[in-house]
Amino acid sequence: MKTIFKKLLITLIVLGTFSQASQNSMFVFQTTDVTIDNNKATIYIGTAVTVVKAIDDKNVLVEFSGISFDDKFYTNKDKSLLMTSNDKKSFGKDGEEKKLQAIIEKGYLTKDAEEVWEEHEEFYYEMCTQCHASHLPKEHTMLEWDAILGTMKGFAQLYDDEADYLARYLKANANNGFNTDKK
Amino acid sequence: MKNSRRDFLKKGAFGTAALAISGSTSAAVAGIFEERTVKIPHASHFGAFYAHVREGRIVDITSQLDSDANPTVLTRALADRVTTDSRVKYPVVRKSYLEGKRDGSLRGKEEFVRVSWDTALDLAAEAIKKAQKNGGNEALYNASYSVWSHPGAFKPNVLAGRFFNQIGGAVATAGEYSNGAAGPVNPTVVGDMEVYSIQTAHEQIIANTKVMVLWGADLYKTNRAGFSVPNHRCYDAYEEYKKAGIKMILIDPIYTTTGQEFKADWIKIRPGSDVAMMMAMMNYLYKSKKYDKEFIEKYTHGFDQFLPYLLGKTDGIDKTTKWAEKITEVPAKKMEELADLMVSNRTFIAGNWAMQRAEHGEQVDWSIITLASMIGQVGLAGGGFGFSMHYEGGGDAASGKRTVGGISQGKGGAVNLTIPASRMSDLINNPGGTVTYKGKVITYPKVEFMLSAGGSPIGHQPNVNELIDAMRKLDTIVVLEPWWTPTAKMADIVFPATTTLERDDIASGMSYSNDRIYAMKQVVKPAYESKDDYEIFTLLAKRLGTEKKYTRDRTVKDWLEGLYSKSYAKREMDITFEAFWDKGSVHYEIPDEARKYVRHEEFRKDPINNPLKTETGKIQIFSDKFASYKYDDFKGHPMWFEPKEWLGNKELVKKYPLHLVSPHPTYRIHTQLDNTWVQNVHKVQGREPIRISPNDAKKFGVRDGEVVEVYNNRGSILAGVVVTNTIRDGVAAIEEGAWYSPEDISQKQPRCNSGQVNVLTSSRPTSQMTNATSANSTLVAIRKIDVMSPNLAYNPPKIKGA
Repeated sequence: MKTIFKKLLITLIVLGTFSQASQNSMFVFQTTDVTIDNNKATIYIGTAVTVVKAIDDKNVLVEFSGISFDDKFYTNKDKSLLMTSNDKKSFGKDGEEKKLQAIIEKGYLTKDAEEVWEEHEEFYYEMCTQCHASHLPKEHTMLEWDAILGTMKGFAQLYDDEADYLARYLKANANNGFNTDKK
Repeated sequence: MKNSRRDFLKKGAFGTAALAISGSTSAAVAGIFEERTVKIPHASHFGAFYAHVREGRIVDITSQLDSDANPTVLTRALADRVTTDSRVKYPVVRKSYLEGKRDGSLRGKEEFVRVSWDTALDLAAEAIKKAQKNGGNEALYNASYSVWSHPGAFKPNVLAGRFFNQIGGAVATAGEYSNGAAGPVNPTVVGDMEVYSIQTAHEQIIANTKVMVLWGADLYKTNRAGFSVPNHRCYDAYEEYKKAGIKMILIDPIYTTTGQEFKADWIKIRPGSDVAMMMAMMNYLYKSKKYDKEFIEKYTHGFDQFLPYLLGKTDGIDKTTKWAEKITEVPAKKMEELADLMVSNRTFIAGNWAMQRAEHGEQVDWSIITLASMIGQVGLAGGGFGFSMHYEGGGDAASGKRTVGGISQGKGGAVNLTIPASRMSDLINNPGGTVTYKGKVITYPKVEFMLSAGGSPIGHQPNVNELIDAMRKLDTIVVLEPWWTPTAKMADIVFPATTTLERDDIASGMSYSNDRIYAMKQVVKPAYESKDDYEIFTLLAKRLGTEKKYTRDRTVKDWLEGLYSKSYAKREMDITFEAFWDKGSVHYEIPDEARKYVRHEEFRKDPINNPLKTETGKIQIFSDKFASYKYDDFKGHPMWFEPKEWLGNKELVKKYPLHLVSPHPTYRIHTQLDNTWVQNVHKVQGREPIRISPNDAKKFGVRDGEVVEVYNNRGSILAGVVVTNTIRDGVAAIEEGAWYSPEDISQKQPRCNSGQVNVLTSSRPTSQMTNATSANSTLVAIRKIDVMSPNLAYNPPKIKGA
């Protein structure tokens, strides 16, 4: 009985923690400046973060995990999605997995991933359904999107900046992207 | 809906078209001719052309020679399509359907009744609402798969997708018939689909390639027609290939036009055995230590996991050339000589798409890529592999400038359910059943409403009898078509659509060169009661409450101007839409730099900073992802799997001793143009030709020009015998795309009087990985016939009130 109670308690604690984490999960609404370790850095659109605490009325401290490569911080070792960059200081050893904390103006955060990608989504469905039916971003991994986009950007006649714009949307919403639980 | 097309035309096409003068008429007659004949620019999948119009009729078609370097006869067949008796003239409804009886078993067997547009549209809208009520939007099936109906911005399949997406979605197609097996595999193997990717420039091939292996690729035939508007400049490049003295090797059961043009050495491989030959060549290169070890180590991943299989350590079968000789019927010595030739000369392997439209088609490109890796020339000028030299002028250099796109489908509603192309019959026959696709499991919904626009499923779907059985189970079938295609004849409601020559559109050319924008101007008035696809879907949308979303209140001209406004011509060259429309085309220069393009060159030069978009950044000879799917017919590295239906199946061959391949047509795109005079060039007594060798003709006791029955357990067709030395013994070829024409509709599997090859092909999937079409894995037999009735493939059905 004691063991069952103990397991239940642990489960509740874990669920509670998860629920709280989920409650604090946010997405960066648009690319903007942040402060990381007292240095100015850039955090990129769609990056998934967890709010740690409020700093003041305007700013909050957020945390996010990834892989450092010099002054850039990515989601994974493939460098599929850039989360933040810093011109002045390395985030750590190349390939090192770590957590970063950043101070960001809370107006740049939202819980609604769809809101983040509204314009990207419209552009995607406009440009990529002129010949064939649409493919949902979650149908592929980030890597697969890179590969498919590599072929198809010629057919869609995307300029490089447009291809980059779409790639970020597709990868952020890929089945291993930022927005894995809201699709 | 606002539609100012006529005003637009008055100012545009007719008002500004150049006048044509016939050089062969007298001056006086020429004057009258000049007065009355206008020359209107238009464009098609066969090339850009001028329609010469006199008193509302097309009197001639001539190619736009400044855009089409080597025109084909196919453009000249387009006028015939406008006036043919096979046009759908009025909206019609199947008789018993109109009477409220939903007996699907009568589809294709009873007459139609002419109705008003309102009646037909109301019935279609009611059927959609009924299906939605019964099963939600998953009960709707958008079978408008094909993007090949024309190269314009108003593609019927896209218009259909747009319509369905805005009413909540419909079941649609994932992947494709063309590249259903290789397309989904290649991105994981080499970080790119490859089958549609820009190819190494012709100039680099001409300057560097010493040996070109045409592994099934038929450059001359398939480049005649394009996804966009072809310029046929590739044929000029091929003349340079000849002058450069490139040694050409053709591995193909057919000595193709390309083989003949290039005077290629012909390796008469047994169909379906190509992967075994590739394995054997790799085995030989490894054991002889002639392979490029450094390339394998530096640029590939998983060779060590593949090697035990190649050497027979995992399955007890050493994949030697002797082993492959029995499978491929290519002498072991020949395979070794070829491997030696390839590894000691700058060699380009031109793959094709037909090989992967066969059982285990997923293995083909993967094996070619692995073989090319062992040869070690990937990323070198004129070396490596390419899977698109036969498509859209593969090898043409790119302008790098934007042309025009098309109207879009938008987001896919709430359904988000796509089924692999070629599973069409399964979808209808097997609600609740499942199908695997790239590691996922898809459950078939119960569909009851099907719509097809701009394509003919009883054209591209294998096993026609199976499909027709399935179609008879549906509640409603709606078809939008200019012609009485076999699919239209199986419908409940048929809407007459205009041909492109009866409306305005815009197109570009080509997919790789991107150096032309074309006006597809209206040439003649819409025939009978036909309406544009765009207008038909708008009228349907109105009945579903989505008209405004569908049109965004834009006229045809608004759409065309909007699309043109994004082009380089408008943005950078400052050519107004009016100026472009008056002239009929815009041309871009190709920069010299583009002629230096070598595929995979950046990866080869610096694989660390330019990694492939694969699991390891290298060519994946082994993929953990693929291995994790745990399929029994698709593993973590390329493999030879013996097909079920091929000449190696001794039991089946006793009944059906010929391997039937169904290549792309020479005088059509798929089913298009089959109802025109141009078919007279090649048909035999009005039937699709079947090409067989002299030995096989003797074996079956048939002769050149004779109509015979070709059959297997899936059905039978009539075809006209062409005896030729250009096909190997044991193999027959019937080009795909003839219009299905059942002889006796009372039979369960009526014989096709026309020669539609998909009556015979199998719908067996390639493997669990992609469930793609395996149409080229088909065995048949031939028998003589006694009586032959007229082929009614191009006749309209019986219509009451028309």
